[in-house]
Amino acid sequence: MAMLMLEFFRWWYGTGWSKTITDLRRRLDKTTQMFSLSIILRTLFAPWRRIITPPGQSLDTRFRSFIDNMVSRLVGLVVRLVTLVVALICMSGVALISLLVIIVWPLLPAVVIVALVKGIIG
Amino acid sequence: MNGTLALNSLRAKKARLAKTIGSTGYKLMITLVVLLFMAVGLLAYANHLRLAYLLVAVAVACLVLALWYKRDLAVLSPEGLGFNERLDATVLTSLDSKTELTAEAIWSRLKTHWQLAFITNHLFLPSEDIGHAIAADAIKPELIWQEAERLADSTGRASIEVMHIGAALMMTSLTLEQQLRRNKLQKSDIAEVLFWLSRNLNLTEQRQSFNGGIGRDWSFGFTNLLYRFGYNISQEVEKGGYFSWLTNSSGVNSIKQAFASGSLAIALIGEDGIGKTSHVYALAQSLLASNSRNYHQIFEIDPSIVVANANRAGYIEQIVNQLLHEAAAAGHIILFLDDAKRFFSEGIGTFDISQILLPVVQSRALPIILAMTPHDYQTFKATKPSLFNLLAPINLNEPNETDIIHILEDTALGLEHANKVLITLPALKEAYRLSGRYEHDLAYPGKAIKLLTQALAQASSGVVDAYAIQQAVEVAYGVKVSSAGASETDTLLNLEARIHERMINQNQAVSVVANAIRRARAGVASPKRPIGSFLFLGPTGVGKTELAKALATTYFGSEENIIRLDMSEYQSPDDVKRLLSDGQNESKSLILAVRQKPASVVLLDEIEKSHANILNLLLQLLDEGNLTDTSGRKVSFKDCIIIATSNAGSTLIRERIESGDTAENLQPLLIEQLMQKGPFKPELLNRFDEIVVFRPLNQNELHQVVELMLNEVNNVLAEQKVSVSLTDAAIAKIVEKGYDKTLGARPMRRAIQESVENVIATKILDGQVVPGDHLTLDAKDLG
Repeated sequence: MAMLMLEFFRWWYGTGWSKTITDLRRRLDKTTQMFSLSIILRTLFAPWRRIITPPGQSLDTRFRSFIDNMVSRLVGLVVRLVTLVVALICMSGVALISLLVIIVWPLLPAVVIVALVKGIIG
Repeated sequence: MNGTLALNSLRAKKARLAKTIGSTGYKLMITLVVLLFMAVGLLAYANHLRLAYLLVAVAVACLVLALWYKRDLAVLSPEGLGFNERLDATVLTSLDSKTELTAEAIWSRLKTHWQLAFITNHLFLPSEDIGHAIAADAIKPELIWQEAERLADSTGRASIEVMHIGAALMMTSLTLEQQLRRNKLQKSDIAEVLFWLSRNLNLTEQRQSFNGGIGRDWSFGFTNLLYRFGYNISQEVEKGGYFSWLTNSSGVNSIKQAFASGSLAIALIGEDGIGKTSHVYALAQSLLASNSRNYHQIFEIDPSIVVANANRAGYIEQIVNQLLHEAAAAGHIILFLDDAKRFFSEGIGTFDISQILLPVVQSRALPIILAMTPHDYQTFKATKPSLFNLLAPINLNEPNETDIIHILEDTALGLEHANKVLITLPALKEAYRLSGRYEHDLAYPGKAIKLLTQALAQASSGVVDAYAIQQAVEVAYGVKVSSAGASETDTLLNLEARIHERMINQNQAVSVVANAIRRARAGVASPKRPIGSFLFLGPTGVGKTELAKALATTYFGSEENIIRLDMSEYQSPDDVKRLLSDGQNESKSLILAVRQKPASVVLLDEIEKSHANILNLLLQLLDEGNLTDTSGRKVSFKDCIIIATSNAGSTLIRERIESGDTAENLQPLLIEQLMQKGPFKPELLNRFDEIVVFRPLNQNELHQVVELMLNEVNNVLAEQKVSVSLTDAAIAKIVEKGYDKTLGARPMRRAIQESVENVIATKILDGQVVPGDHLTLDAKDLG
């Protein structure tokens, strides 16, 4: 039993803690991937779903296609920016929780002892 | 390793603790944590702080234990490279340190684990029998651990698992080896099933989630039309990729290299069944896994949907134009045209898009993969040279036997799941062997997969074994490949008697043919040549053709199973083509006939009259058991009996028999004469299994022939409940009328027709004979 207890503490403050940190980092990466952050940043000003109007010959059609394409890009920009904002909020949440977990993790065994003492002594 | 199993190690204790807690214990702890924290909140609100602190202590202790269980104890990863450090938790908890660890005890503890059940089920060996064999050997545990460690290394697994220990027990048992042999298995089969299981476990563990996130497709165009007229292969693969075995194949790598080097139009060339479509699915999986090529999506166009929606002239072109434009504009589409010939020929359900596709390929606006057979590729070269020159060809070759078995194993798991059956390893090997022999329209692995699928219908008690595969072959190709049953064994052992029911004498000929068939069915004959090949020599009308017919009826089930060619029709060199035609333009092609009836008697009548080139062809047929048709496809004659008949030497036979010689004595002399003067080269004569001399029939035998023919007449009359018999004088008259020195007994049938059948017909019409009558005809009654 003593061996198992010792093994528990060795794991909790060793592999367990470092593995938790790695897992939390991976979760943050997954959130980044889920919101396609790198793609969104790369294509922030790209037309929405490639909806573009090819430029014509006359000045008038060229101007019209320019306006059309600007609208498409604007739609793309708005959707991507909204996604970016939501992504940043989510990522901040995940990062905050991760930080809390990393900090709280080593304290948990101590919490058991402290809470026990407090409960008994008062 | 040091040769001992440490069941009191810390790792073993952790494994046992994990087993004690179990997933139920974990769930209980988590529920308890939630409930306790809720109670803590209530107690804190009610200002019972001491009790609240105590509950916090219990709740956090439960949480800590639950976390330890979930993240360490339950997974118990290998902790080093040593044997004990790699032992899987199940092994550690299944084995008891209190009892002696004999091989029998180890097997008994592990045999019910699903991994061992997978191995024993797929070998179709009862685990009790394996247990008895292992018990008889008293294998030293050290040997088992060593073997298990070796197997874990060779299967690429970090842990030494139940499957490794179980397989090691089986591999080290000498008694089991004998049992394996009795079941037509060997030790390498145990390793094969172990690798099968390990490979799938490795794949499951490595399976990646494919996605680029919610914004992946926002910078690419809409693909509504492609979804309407096609099929998104990448999306299908994304739901669950099952082509991991192929993603690193040379074929998929070649396609990726071709794209990388700037070729955007690829011709994927391979025979039907070689896996062209599977390669494209694997490419889709590979692209998704590596997030390479800009999240490309592979779309397959379905020509039948295009045709079905084209309700006015020119609409097909319009749809295809729109599809190509949409795919090019989307920016992340690879277009896949499966069985590409459907897109380049005008016909029912097909259309020609070459003129529309050409500018797209020229402008390099869209990556395209066209799947086609080598034959279609050559046709494409001749008919669409402009487009052909823009294609980068990638040839797919048949995988080797090991890879085919692996492919079959992976396919079998899907079939097992879908059809709720068990497919054994011997079944897979049999599917490989028999499909290679009988399926000539498809390449590997497609032909073996086809046979495996057909065999599902033959599953007995939910098991597809080697016998089910043999049954599927027998149903599909009409050949006999399974062991002879009781009724067939009886037929085989009494084959001579059965043949003599419809043939008089010619004992030597009947005997050699019967022996050849018995050899083939017992598996003693060479499987690479026809069942038997015989040259029947003798005058006309002595029973050569009749023996061939009797054989087809007795052994192959029907006189229909005879492919008869009059070789006098093949006298010019050009006739070789006719004989080897793939059947498209020649209805009397030998190739076509054998392809339709692979188990037949091939009767080559009057072989001496055929052209020398055809005789040369016969050399190949007798030697290798196959011929190649005009399209370059092989057809097997390995389930045929080849009978060539010839009248050459008839005069000599008649003279010698009349002078009192026997057919057996005459044979060497006749062969020598044929070699020196006759139409046959010695190499051809030497390739026949037997050269059989048929002697002319004597008077007594001719009487028996008449009786046989009368039986046939009675069989026909039986429907009208009328029977007929002949007196000796009547038989003698028919023999006299029906026997000809030159034509032998051949005119006998006509004699029966004229003398007997005509008389009975008249009497039936006159009303002289009514149902239930028996008629005895004398010589004077005959017509």
